[in-house]
Amino acid sequence: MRSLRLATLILLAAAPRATASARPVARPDHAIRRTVSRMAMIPAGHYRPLYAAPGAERVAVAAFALDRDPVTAGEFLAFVERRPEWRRDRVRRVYADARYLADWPSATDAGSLEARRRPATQVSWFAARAYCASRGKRLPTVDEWEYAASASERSTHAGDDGAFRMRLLALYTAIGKAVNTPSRGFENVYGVRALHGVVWEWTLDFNSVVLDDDSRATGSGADARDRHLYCASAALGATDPSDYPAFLRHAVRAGLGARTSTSALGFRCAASTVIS
Amino acid sequence: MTRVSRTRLVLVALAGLAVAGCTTRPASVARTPEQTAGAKADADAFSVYDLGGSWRDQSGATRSLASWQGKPVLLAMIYTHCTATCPLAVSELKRIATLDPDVRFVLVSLDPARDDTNRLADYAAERGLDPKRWTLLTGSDADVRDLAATLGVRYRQVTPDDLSHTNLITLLDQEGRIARQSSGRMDDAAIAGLHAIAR
Repeated sequence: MRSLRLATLILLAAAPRATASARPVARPDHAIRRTVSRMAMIPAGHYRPLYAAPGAERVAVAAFALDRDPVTAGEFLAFVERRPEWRRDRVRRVYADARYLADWPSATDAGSLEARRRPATQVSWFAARAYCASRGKRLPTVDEWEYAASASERSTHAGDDGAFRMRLLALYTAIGKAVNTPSRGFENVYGVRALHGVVWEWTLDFNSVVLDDDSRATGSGADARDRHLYCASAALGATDPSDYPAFLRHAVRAGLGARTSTSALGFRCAASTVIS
Repeated sequence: MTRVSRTRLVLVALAGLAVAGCTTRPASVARTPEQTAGAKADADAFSVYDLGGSWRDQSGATRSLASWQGKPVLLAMIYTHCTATCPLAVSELKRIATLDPDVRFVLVSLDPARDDTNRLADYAAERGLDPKRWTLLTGSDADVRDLAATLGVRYRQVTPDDLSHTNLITLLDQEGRIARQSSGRMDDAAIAGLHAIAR
């Protein structure tokens, strides 16, 4: 009974896609349950987003499940074999730019065993989302990702800790380097590995980053130059101007388009565990 | 050197690395007509009309974006409760409408929960938007996010009543390719480009 309910929740959670190519594939309940059982369970809680409206500095995050590791190139190859419309030579150009999977030796070859164990990169947002949907999952939201990523090995809320921040900055210097493997980076208190320092990761609502001016001097995101571009932009200010790792992640997301495929950008999947 | 300034130096260096990691031009960058001409030829050209999705217009009819194939379209993403920049964008599009008799206009709601087809019809009537040239669309959250992400429109809910969003006007050519994008106001060169595409 419990497992049936869980499977139903997961199916509901995975449903919000509409494009034909990204529609989740119906899967047997037991398979979905097995998938989720390998994920890390992130309990409900609060986190403080980098930019927040006054009075909304704390955002509630519902409980969810998150992949323990970034999706590997080998796993993405298996997806491409099952769903050939996502091969680099067949993908619709609206879904991925010309660099999509361009580092693979061929459209159906992700390279050596070692290469296949590394996180999948040069994957667009559309492709990452389609992969997650094919597993009965979805991409994590920015709020979910940031909430899970503010945990260290021992604490669920290490984001305010200066030493933790310095460590993240040091990890970020290595992002995109060929030496990276999923084993690099640490496993946090939730059992989620390599959230920092291996690849940047896609989020479902990456394009919710509205401010591209991350002014550290004032802590206010909007200057007069940009004000005519945005509705209500003056309502947003940085909650903690000294959170450099958060600014950096924010800046990376601000530079992305949905078709972007770069060698420093990968992803992992999430799944809802409660109905909102 | 203080600790703070050292930290900033580290940050600047990191930001450089981050940029080096994503050299691909974001979709939100406005393209000149020359760049667009080049883009059409290269392997990276794409059509917004290849996006899936199902939309409803202000008359309640189901529409697909591809139904504008063959005609240049000016498209903006707005929401009808917006009081700041969206009315300006609509005014700008109305100004262009007087300059070019051929171009069609599509306004897509970023707030589908409140902008149902009735609300869109009221909005169109209030602003005198001729249904022969103006279509207002509402769709699912997922379709809205797909289109916004493809066009480079960034948005988020700031308060229960207000969305913060980039105010982009996009010119799509007959094939649904992004021919031109500008923030808030189309300059004369853009409108000249529009004429060129419409011919």
